[in-house]
Amino acid sequence: MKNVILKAEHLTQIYGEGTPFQRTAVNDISFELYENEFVGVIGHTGSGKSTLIQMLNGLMKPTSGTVSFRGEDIWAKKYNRRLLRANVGLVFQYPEYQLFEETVEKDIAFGPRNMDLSEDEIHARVKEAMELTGLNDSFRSKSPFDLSGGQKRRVAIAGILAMRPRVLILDEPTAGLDPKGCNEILANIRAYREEEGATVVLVSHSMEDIAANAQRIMVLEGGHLKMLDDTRAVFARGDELTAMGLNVPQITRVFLSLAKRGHADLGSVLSPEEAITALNRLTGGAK
Amino acid sequence: MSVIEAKNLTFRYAEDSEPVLKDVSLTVEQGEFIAILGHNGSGKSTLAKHLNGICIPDEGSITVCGLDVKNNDDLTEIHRKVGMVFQNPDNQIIASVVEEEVAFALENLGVEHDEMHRRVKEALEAVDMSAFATHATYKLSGGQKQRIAIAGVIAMRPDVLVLDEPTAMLDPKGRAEVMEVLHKFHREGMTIVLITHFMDEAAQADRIAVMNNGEILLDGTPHYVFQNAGLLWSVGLNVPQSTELMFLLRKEGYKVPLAVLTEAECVAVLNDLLAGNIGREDA
Repeated sequence: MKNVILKAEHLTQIYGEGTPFQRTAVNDISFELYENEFVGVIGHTGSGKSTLIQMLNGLMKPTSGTVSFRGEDIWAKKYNRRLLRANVGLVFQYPEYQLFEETVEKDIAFGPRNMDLSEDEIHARVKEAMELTGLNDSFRSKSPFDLSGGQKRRVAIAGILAMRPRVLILDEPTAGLDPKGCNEILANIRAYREEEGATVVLVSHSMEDIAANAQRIMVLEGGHLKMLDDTRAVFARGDELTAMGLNVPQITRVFLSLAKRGHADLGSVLSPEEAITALNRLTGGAK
Repeated sequence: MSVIEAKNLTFRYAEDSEPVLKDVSLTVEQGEFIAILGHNGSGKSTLAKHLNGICIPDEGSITVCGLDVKNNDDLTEIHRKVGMVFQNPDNQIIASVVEEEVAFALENLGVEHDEMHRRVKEALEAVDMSAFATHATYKLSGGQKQRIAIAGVIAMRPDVLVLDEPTAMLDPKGRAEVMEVLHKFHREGMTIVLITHFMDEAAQADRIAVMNNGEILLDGTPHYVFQNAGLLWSVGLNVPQSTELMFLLRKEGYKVPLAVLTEAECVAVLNDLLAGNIGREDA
């Protein structure tokens, strides 16, 4: 039984309404997010991804349409949106530019401190968030500004995790990191989802990362929701994605191409590991 | 003819700190397209900054187009001959109008008015941005901004183009646009040094140098470098998915070649394998 945690109905965001610069950034988008699922969001620059996610935690009020968290309209009168922002945690692009405190511990504690929690609870949450993001105790009293880019990014993410959001939304959390840094951040996100049973929404330009992590994918183009389906079903539509200036993982492209050459029986493939399974199946099983 | 000759470079940012570059030697030939890979902190950006005299080595020597970076009198000429493009387009765009942005360096160099117009026009054509000449820079997409930054450098008619992760902040379309421009300049004979974290971009170069802890770990063609997948994985790097698949197939006993980088190469090998043309150990 899938429980809906966040629901968007006919969401529309129009910038500069009534001016010559009027632009519809998000156009009549509806979807449901389930508890504990991992959703990828893809779309090229200007497709409406950032606008959409800012509406999901009430940072931006939609021009029309509604967002409900656990069945409650977040723009209803007397709705506690401050609490919502802890429940729907948003990690912006390049979050390390938002670090500001003197120490790593204080920076991570900033969110929980604004939730009226006890000092003990704040302490426990900071500790847990640091463990989840692979920051050992020695980082506690360091200045966040003395850290490397990848470490700063983890501190910024820990600051959101410490609020224990039920829905964790991340806007390109691995941009600009080296492959090892990317893998570490993605492992942190998976660990959080597993331990807390949280829902994760990952906005990324890396189709490989999306393929390896997401169960469903949302494809945005020109403010419209073009696709929302299982990861495999979305990447099977490689030609349509390419036409939108997007891509599919290299290995998926290879198998789409093999299918066109008469090897449709291999099925769709999202990772090199899946490729091995598919090939072994056709050539007489594993060694 | 070699354009860049770096010999035994050692460099520290502070006197008492660990060297960021340790005895690095690298020769880049005229017209070569070389990619530099390495994890964060491996020294690749520092090496790039040596190529046009932003950093001067503590030990060792480096000459660019025959000019020594240690010779102060030659530095202006070196800056002109080696153009640099950085990661964040927003940090390197100054002017509010596209053509003014491209003309910025030319004005500083005192290029005569008509000549400046000619060069700006050419540079914008070269990056396929002519239609945007009078547009506002802040309204451009990331890929367009990076192409404008490249045009500004190209307008100085450099011999070498050094790019430090120019596509890190771009979407797939923007990345493809920038790579296309680099390939075009390369075909026209320009020397290109591309620092990147994207293995698929490195695979498109003539040659790859892999840096690790301030040293050059591997240096050769993409096919050669990516065959060393185990070594690359051990230093926190990656290989294209097609290459990874070949490694997994080898583990399964299939006698596939390891030097497979592109989608087309991978499709060809798998076609062979499915046709029964590739043997298998213990089969």
